[in-house]
Amino acid sequence: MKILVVDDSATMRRIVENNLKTSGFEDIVQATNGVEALANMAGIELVLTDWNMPVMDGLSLVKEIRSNPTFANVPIVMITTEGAKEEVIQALKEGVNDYIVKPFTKQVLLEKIEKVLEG
Amino acid sequence: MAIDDKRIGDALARAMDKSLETLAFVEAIPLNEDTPPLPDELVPAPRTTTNWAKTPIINPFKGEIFLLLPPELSEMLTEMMFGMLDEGELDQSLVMDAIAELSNVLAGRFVDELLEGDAVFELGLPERGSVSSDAEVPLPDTHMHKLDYAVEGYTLTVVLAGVDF
Repeated sequence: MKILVVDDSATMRRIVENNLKTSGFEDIVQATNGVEALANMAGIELVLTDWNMPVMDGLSLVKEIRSNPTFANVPIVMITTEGAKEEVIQALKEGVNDYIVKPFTKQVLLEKIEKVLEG
Repeated sequence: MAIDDKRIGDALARAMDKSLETLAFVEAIPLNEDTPPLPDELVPAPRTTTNWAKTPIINPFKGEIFLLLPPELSEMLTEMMFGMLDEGELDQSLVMDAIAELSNVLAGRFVDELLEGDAVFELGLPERGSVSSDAEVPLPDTHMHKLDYAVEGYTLTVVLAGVDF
């Protein structure tokens, strides 16, 4: 499975990648913002994205993905510091499949991924 | 809307616990007048170089949260956060990115605790730097709270600056 990890923080991209690779997910692509992510969407089967990023933020990225017929059904999980109910609702309305608030454990990450892939 | 000291201290303590323990598997012991004296082996050494990272808080409070810590602790936390690092991979760029992310996560959890979990907030993008002493950290010229923590034998300082703090 090819997974796209989007975050302006190299640390957070690595943490997510390490958690994925130690769980058997080998094909990981990284992007530092929404524009880079869109340029790397070919073949992607799951997107894990931060919200607050320069150039193009996560919510804008979600809107772009959902408006593109080629990628409209790719599952998206948002991983972010913003965890208020209203923001979660806004993200879900824009097409995010699920939401993780930082900091998160590997177990939470894997449970959310499993849940969206089953859905 | 200035927030009282106890509410700030309590929110920060909970945020520190959540952030450091989940991300880096370490405990932060508050160093304040209420803290019993630490055993000698846990008393932190003074900083000779300071790495700093800050995350702006934009809404509903206006301010910044800074982390100040020595390079040794910065590297330790980076290694803990990454879990797996290749030989020679731990460089200054990685370390500074890690502490910037730590400040970002801490800021988010701190504001969330202040708002008791259910209000919208907005953070800015983190910044970071390294200076030869705390005096050179670009703290703003506003009211601030400064809280020290003992983490793995080193001092980590959190500074909350801004009119609301």
